[in-house]
Amino acid sequence: MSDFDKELRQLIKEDFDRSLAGWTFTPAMRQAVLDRVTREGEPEATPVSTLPRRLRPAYWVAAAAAAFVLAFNLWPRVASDGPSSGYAPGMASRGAPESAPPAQDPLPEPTGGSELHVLMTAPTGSETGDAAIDPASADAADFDTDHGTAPEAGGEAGPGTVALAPVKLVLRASDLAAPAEETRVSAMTAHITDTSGRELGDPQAEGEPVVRLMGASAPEPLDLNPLPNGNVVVYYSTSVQVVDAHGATVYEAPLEQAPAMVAFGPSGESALVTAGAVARFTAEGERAGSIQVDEMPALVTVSRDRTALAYANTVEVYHADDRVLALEGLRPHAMALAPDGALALLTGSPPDARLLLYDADGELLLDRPVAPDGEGFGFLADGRNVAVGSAVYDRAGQSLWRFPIAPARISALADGEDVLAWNLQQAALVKADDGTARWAAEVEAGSILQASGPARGDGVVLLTSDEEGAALWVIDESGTKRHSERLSDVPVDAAVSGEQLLLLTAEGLKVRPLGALDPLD
Amino acid sequence: MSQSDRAALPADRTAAIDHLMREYGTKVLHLAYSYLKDRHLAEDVAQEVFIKAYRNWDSFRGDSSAYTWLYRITVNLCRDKARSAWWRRLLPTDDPRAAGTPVEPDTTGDDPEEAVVLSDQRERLMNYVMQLSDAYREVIILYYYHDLTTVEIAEVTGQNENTIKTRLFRARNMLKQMLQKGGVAR
Repeated sequence: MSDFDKELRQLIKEDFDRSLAGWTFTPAMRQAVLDRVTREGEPEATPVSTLPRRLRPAYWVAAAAAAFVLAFNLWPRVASDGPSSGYAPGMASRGAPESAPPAQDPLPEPTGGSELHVLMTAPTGSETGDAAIDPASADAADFDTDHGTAPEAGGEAGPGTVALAPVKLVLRASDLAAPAEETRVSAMTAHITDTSGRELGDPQAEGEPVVRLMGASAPEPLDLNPLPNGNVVVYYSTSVQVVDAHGATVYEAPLEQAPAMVAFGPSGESALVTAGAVARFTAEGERAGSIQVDEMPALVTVSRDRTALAYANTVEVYHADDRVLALEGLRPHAMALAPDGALALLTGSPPDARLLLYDADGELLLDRPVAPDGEGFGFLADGRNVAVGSAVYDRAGQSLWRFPIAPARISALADGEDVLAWNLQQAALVKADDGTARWAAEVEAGSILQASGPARGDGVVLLTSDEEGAALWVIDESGTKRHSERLSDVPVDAAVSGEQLLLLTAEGLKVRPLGALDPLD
Repeated sequence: MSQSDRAALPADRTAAIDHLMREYGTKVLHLAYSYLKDRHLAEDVAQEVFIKAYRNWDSFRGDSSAYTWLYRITVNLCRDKARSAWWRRLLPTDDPRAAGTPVEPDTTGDDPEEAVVLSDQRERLMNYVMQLSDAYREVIILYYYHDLTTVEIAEVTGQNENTIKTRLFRARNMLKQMLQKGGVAR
């Protein structure tokens, strides 16, 4: 080892140790792991009873309990199927989980494998909105009890209040068929395109499912962005393409340099960061302009015609391509722009974390201490509120409500009504104005790689992974599973547009009808 | 660590994982951070590593050392997460290739001014390491920070040892260039 190597080793160790000083695997983390594995039990190592399986008392008890619960739940629906049954009016027509036939959604005991549990749902479209949700099924999450109380046993729902029994829809990835692409791709029409997206094969017969594959020399696929108008922006290392819901290219702009980062605005606008510029794109996916930069920004956020860039010690705000604001001495960990141009920054680390809020002219509106319990950060409710971890504040700094999970990421959906929050284990769709949970889901085994919000009322896409590979779930706003499938590889991204599922993989964009590959349907 | 280390661990699965968490928890945490650049998620991933180790305890025969086994789980989990697109929405890759400016390996060998370069730029070293692309950052951190050999890095990352040696050579020279030029090698 050379002297350079030795010194490099020493300096890297010193630098890392200094940078990460005091940040350790804490006893609390250790205990959390132990609690988790204790709950799960020892896989494959539990002593097996010597009694024949059919004679084990636990089986009979469980079977009797299950029969009782099934009968109890089915009886009121058969008898009246009306509000007095405690069954949410309108939910059947919306395909809520409770309305799903048991045969389609069995409730097996949790075991290994990737499982997504929809822990609770609130009725959609309930104008009065006071869904009473039993927090008992909400895992360890601190569910906001301000928005509902536990349903009274045997009580009936009063006017304006819908008492919901806890819904636990188990989606078990291990029950899904093996990755279907290998078996079904032959039944589909493959559209081979060149690197510009021009089609090389035969045109698609109407109504046929489509698999669009980029050519062998295709550039690296980077990201998907569903737009409110139903089109989807596909970002490649050499171009930006706008495709319709069926994958046909409607617009394309070449890129001079491969982007290092993509930032999305709440209405579909986006910004691509390269070494020397930030390229702006409209909510229709078309090139809007370019901001020249001397160095790579650490953070980028975009909303309508404003873009904010954070550097080591400065935050710059641009209107179109012109810089309109420079805030010196700020080094935010997170940053967000509201539609009206207000800028929210999260600075410092706990216990010194602060939420700063500036108006469009750079006047400081709010500076308050915060204690973020997750990295999720962003404006909600058309910019009226701002989320810091699980806490949501108004612009005056008043605490309004909390997410039912500690979000690592949050996305205000394009309709402005809902917000998607997620972390590695849980995801939740809540109403942006008051935090009422539409549904919350948890992966028992494996983790959530990505959650994507819908652009116009389509389903939320969750990508999960476990030891067996990846799985994809599409859940609508009522908490109903619209699609689920095993995937052979972790895709780069996935989105839903209308009834089409778009998967961006290393091979290119694949489009297929939503639900077509769901073996449970 | 060798087969004897497996024997040295507690026989009970939970106790063994607890032991590994005490021994390697922070190392796994820091390794996850080097991939994810996000402390909250690194904490989640580090816990997930040990849950996964618990579930797959029977597959650990002691043929490899416990820490390379744990590191392999960590690397695979982080790669899965980093593969999905949303990382690009949040974290610049700072990949010199992405910047359109390829970095050619410096083959001039040891430079007598290297020590001076290092002492001048040490404040920035951590930033420079984190600016390297995933493949190069990986080998630098495993080799210099975690003290793994190239054989062990190959085992952890699932790559050929020669590939690791090449990446290490290139990454080392990229760092040298960045230190000399004061930023991302361009």
